[in-house]
Amino acid sequence: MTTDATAVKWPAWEDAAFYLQEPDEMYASIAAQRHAAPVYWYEPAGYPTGLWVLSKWEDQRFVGSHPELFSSRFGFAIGDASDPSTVIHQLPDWAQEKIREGNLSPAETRRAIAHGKLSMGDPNFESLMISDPPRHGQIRSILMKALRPSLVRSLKPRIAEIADEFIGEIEPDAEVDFVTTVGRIPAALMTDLIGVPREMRERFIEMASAQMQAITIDPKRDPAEAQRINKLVEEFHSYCGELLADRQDRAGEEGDLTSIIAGSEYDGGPVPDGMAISFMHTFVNAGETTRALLGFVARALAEHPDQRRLVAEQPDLVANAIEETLRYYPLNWSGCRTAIQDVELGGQLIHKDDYVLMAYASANRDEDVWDRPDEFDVTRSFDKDHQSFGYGEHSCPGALLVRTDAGIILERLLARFPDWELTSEPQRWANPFLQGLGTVPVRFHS
Amino acid sequence: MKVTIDEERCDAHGVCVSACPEVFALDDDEDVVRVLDENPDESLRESLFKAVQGCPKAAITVEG
Repeated sequence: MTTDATAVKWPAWEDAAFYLQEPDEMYASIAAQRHAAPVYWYEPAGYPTGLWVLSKWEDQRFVGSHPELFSSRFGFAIGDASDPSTVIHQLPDWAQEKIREGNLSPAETRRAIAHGKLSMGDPNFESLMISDPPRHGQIRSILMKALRPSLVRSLKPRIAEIADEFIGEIEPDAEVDFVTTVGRIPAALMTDLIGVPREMRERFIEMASAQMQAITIDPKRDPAEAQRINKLVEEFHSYCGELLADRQDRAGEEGDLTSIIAGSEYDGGPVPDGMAISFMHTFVNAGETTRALLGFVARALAEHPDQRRLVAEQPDLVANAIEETLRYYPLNWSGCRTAIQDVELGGQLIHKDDYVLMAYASANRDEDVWDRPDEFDVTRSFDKDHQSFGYGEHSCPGALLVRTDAGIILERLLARFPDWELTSEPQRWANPFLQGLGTVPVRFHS
Repeated sequence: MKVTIDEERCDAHGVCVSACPEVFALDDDEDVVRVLDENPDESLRESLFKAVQGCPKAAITVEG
């Protein structure tokens, strides 16, 4: 396929509609920009200032490995750079006041938006996502106690057991929704690990999804929807608070992830409530991410039956199939940083305080890194990592859990059902930060 | 060549172990990758480079 670069419209990185195009169209647009302007000053319509778009893998790796040059404190997603008047109603009172007082630089405004949306109402909230070293490392080390690799690896038999239980309930040859069958396995595991009682599972997931929506600033969100989300977030907050208090009282005897956090220390005292709740959100989010990833695995392997047969015959390829799906259908489109001094990148001078967007979806198709980047190939080499979990200090703390969980589930699924097909188009959703599949109608063959 | 790992950063993904098993090791019950050989032979440069490139945390430094 040859595309005339001048005829292709460049990406509207800030607009959800851009991501809902057909993937071929979207990736042609992304490639056109990557080829013509790998470090590009972009001015989104309605945004108060422009931002740099980095399309190349190499440049994104540079930014990710230099937190001393590119800070996370002043926003991490494109929506954080929105015109504040369009998103202010989605923020807590203290952040609204701060913005209304004025006198904030563009970088400080982004911080107020990002901090406000993450804070769950607490102006003193310290967030992993918008902190830099050394603070970031301190916060992350508490979270990593619960997500430590040895613990994640020890979960393998438990994941296989839960997976077999859910997969065993699937009726062959009937049309089922992948998302509400196989896709429920990660949430079942995560809620068990967090210590949420079975009868609260569905409600807990609903609350946690609202929290995920709340941290994605979208000026186009309907006010009624914003209100519904805020209400669920409050509920999530208070439920997690109760669970944490319960585990503190019992001094860790439950042995779940909540107990690990409840028993940890920060700055010589207990972990602050807001931070602890944000960790619990990270846990459940790891489950939701795995669910989203599995939806894309189901889709990709249905669209490429030859590849599916290969993985079914060679279970050693399962881990690679997961990586390739992450590369091909990234869940997280991009991540942002702020330059804290002037830096030259790709022949462009990035000024102090400029906002920089790392377009992960572009790096994942960068011709300098990947052979035949637009082909889905489960045998591909991953000597170089895709950007779907980010890179460096801020790379996804749940990545190992997501990979382990998704890998075992796919392996168990292929052992039971090596063959499935899509029965109709999956229903996609996307915002300028994340994408997922609402439904994936499939038929598993007996 | 001198190889070091930032232990605070390492999340034990184990990518380096697959890329260069002569230099890095990790058991299932460990949370930080071990460096088996801090001054590896020149012949391992290419696989070491793969380890550096593959590390999701940018936790490996190779000097010289």
